[in-house]
Amino acid sequence: MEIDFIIGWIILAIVVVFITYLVLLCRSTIKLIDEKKLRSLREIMQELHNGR
Amino acid sequence: MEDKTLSSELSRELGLFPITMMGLGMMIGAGVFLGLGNSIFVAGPGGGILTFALNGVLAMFTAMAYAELSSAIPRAGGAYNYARLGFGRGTSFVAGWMEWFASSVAGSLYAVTFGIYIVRYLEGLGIMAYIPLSTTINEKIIAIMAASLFLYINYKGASETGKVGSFCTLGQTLFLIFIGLVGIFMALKDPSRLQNFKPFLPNGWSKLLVTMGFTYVAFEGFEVIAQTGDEAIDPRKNLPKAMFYSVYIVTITYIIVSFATIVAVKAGSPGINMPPWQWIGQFKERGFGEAIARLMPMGNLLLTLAVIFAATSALNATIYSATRASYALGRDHMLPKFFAKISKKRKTPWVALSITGGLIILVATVLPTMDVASSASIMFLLLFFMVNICVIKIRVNMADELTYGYVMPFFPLFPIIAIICQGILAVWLVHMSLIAWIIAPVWIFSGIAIYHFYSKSRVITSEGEIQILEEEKAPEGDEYKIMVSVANPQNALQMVRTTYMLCGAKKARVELLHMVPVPAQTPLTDLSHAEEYMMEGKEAIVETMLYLAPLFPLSTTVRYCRNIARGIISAIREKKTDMLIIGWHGRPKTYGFRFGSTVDPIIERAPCNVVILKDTGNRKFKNILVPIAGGPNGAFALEVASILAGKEDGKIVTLSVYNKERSFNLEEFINEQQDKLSISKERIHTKTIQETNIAKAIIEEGKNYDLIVLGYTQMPKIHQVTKASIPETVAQNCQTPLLIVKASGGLRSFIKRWI
Repeated sequence: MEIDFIIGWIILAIVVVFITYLVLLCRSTIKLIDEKKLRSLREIMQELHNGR
Repeated sequence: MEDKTLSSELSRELGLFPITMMGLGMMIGAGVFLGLGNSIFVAGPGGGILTFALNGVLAMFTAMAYAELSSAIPRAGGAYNYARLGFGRGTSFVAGWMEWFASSVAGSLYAVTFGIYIVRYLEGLGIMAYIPLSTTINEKIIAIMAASLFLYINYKGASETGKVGSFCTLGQTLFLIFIGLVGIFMALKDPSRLQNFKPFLPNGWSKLLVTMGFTYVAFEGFEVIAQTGDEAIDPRKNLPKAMFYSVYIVTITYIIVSFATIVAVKAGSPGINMPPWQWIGQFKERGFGEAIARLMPMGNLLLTLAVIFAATSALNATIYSATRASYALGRDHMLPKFFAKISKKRKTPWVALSITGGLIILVATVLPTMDVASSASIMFLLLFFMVNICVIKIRVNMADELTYGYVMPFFPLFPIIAIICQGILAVWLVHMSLIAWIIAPVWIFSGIAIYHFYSKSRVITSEGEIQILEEEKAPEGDEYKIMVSVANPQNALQMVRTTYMLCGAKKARVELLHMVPVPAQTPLTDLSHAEEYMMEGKEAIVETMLYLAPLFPLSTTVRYCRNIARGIISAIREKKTDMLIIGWHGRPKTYGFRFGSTVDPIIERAPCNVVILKDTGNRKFKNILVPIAGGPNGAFALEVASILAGKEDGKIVTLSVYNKERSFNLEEFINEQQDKLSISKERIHTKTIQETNIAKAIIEEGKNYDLIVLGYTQMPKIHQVTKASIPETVAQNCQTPLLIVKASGGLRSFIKRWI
C-alpha cells in the first residue's frame, strides 16, 4: 500500500473532524456570549475559563 | 443638502440564511470549476482532494479572525475597517483599495465564466450559428449583459440582493452535493474506481503549495459577509455564524466533489488510454466538466446549469462586496465623497455601485481574465494576511473598548498559522502567473500614491470617535507636559494638590482634559447639545484652573468621545504628553476589570507615565510607604514619592516583602535611582519583612503611613481574569491614600506597539 495514499486519507479524515470540531466550538461560544449577555473580552474570557 | 444625503443609513434587512448564502455564493464560483482540473493536473488525484481540504482549514482560521472582528466592529467596510483600527488610516486605505480591486476583478472573472458557458451551451443547440460574431465577442457581450443585470439587482436593494443570491446559491450547492453523492455511490458500487487515487501524489507534496494558492480564491466569501455589517439583523451573532457555516459547507462540498470527479472516470473504459487522473488533468480548466459528463446521464447539461448558477451568484456577491468597499472609502472621504452617496429611494450606494460596475465591465472586456484573476487571488491572500495581523493587534490593544459577539479559541495560535501559510501561498503564486505579480504591486503602489496625494489631506479627522468641542491652547514649548484628566468639580479638587507638587518638580506645562462620552447612536458631529454635555466638565476645569493657572502654563480641552479611555489615550498621543494624572474612585463598577473600564486600558496602553490617585484629597504626605520589587515602575514610584515627600519635608520608607521564592536588595536599588530622586538618601529608609501574602503585608504596613505609592504590575490578560495582581488587591482593600504609578516605555511597550 502506497504510504502517501495512507497519509493522505488520514490527513483528510483529520481535516474533516477538525473543522467540524471548530465549527461546533465556535457555535457554542457565540451561543454562550449571546445567552449570558457577555460583552467585554474580560467577561467572556472569565466565563469561558470557568465553563471549560 | 449633500450632507443630508451622506448621513442616510443602509437598511438592516439580512438574516442568517441570506448572509450565509451570500458567502457561500461568493466561494462556489469559478474557482472550483476551473481550479479542480488544474489541481489534478499539477498535484495528481490526491492533490486535487487535499488542496481543497487543507485550504478549508486555512480558510477556517481566517474566518475565525473575520468572525471575531466583524462581531466587534459590525460595519460595512470589512478589512478596511479592521485595518483602520489596527494600523491607522494609511494602511486601511490600502486594504480597502485592494479589497475593491480584488472583488471587482473576481466579479469580472465570474461574468466571463457565465458568458463562456452560455455561449457553449447555445453553440451546442446550434443557435450561435445565426449570429455573425466571433465566439469571443459573443462571450464578452453576454458577460457584460450578466454584469449589468446584477448591477441593477444590487441597485434595487439589499433584500432583493439576498433573495436572488440565496436562490442561485442554494441551487448550485445542492447540485454540487448531488454530484458528490453520485460519486460516492459509484465508488461503493464499483470499488475498483478507488484505484484512480494511485499514485496519490505523483508529483510530490510540494505541488500542493501551488494548487492551494491558485484555488484559494474559492474560499474568499467571508469578506462579503463582513461587508453586510450595516445591513445584517443581529450582526454580532449572525455574521460569525454565517462565516463558519459557509466555510464548513463549502469545504465539505469541495471535498466530496473532488472525490466524485476523480472516481467519475473508469480506468480502461472506451477512450481512456491513460491513468484516469492524467486523463482528467490534461483538460486542465475543463477537466472537471469532462469528468462529470462521464459520471451521469445529461452530465453536460446539468453541469452547464450548475456553472450558470454558480457564476451568477458569485457575480452577485462580488458586486455587492466591491461596492461596499468603495462606499466605505467614500464615506470616510478617502475617495471622492460622491462614492458615499446613498439613493434615498433604494437606500443603496448607487454611485459606488456604478463605478464598481464600470470597473467590472472594463476588466471583463479588455484584460486577460486568468492572469488578472490570479492577481485578485494574491490580493485576497495579502488582505487576509493583514486581517489576521489586525485580529491580534486589536485583541491586544483595544479589547476593553469593543463589544464582542464572538472570540476565537486558542488565541493567537490560529491567526499566526494563517499568516505564515497565506504568506507562503501568496509568494508561491508567482509560479502560476508572472503577470499577476506585476499587476498586484502596480495596483497596491497606485493606492499608496492616491492616499498620499489625495486621501491623506481630505480624510475625516474626527474618525467618528473623538470630537474636540472647546480648546484653549497654551504656547507650545519643549517643557515637560502633564495632562490632568478631570471628570467633575469634586474629582478635580481632589487632584489639585498632588498635581501641583508634580508639576512644580517637573517644571511642567499643564493640560486639563475633560472627556464627554456620547452614545454611538448620536453623531459626534452634531454639536447642538454640546453646552448641555459640557457643563460639568467646564466647572471641573474652572475649579482646577483657579489653583494651577497662576503657577504653570496651562491649556484646557473638552472633547466628545465614544469611549473615555480611547479618547484620553488619543489625546496623549496627539499632544505628546509626558505624564497623565487621573483619579480613581475605588472599586471597579464593571465586572471583569481590575480598576475599571476606563483606568484599565489607560494604565495598560497610555504611551506616557501614568499616575493614578485614590483618596489623596489635599492632604500633606510626610510619611510615605513605597513597596518595591524592582523594575521601571518601582523606580518611578520611588521618584514620585520623593517629589511628594520633598515638598513636605517628609520621609520615605521603602518596603521589600520577601519569602522563600523571592528576595530583593533595596539598598542597591535605591543607590541606582539616587540621581532621579528629589530628596537625600538620609530621608529614605528601608524595611524588609517576611510574609507569603505580599498584598496583605503591604496593606497592614500601610496603615502606619500617610500615603502608599505603588508601581503597577503588568500581567498577561488571561492572568488578569484568573487572579488579582498585588496593586489590584492593595488598591481595593487598603484604607490609606494611594498612588499607583506606571512608567512609560520599556521593551514590552515597544513590542506591543509593533504588534
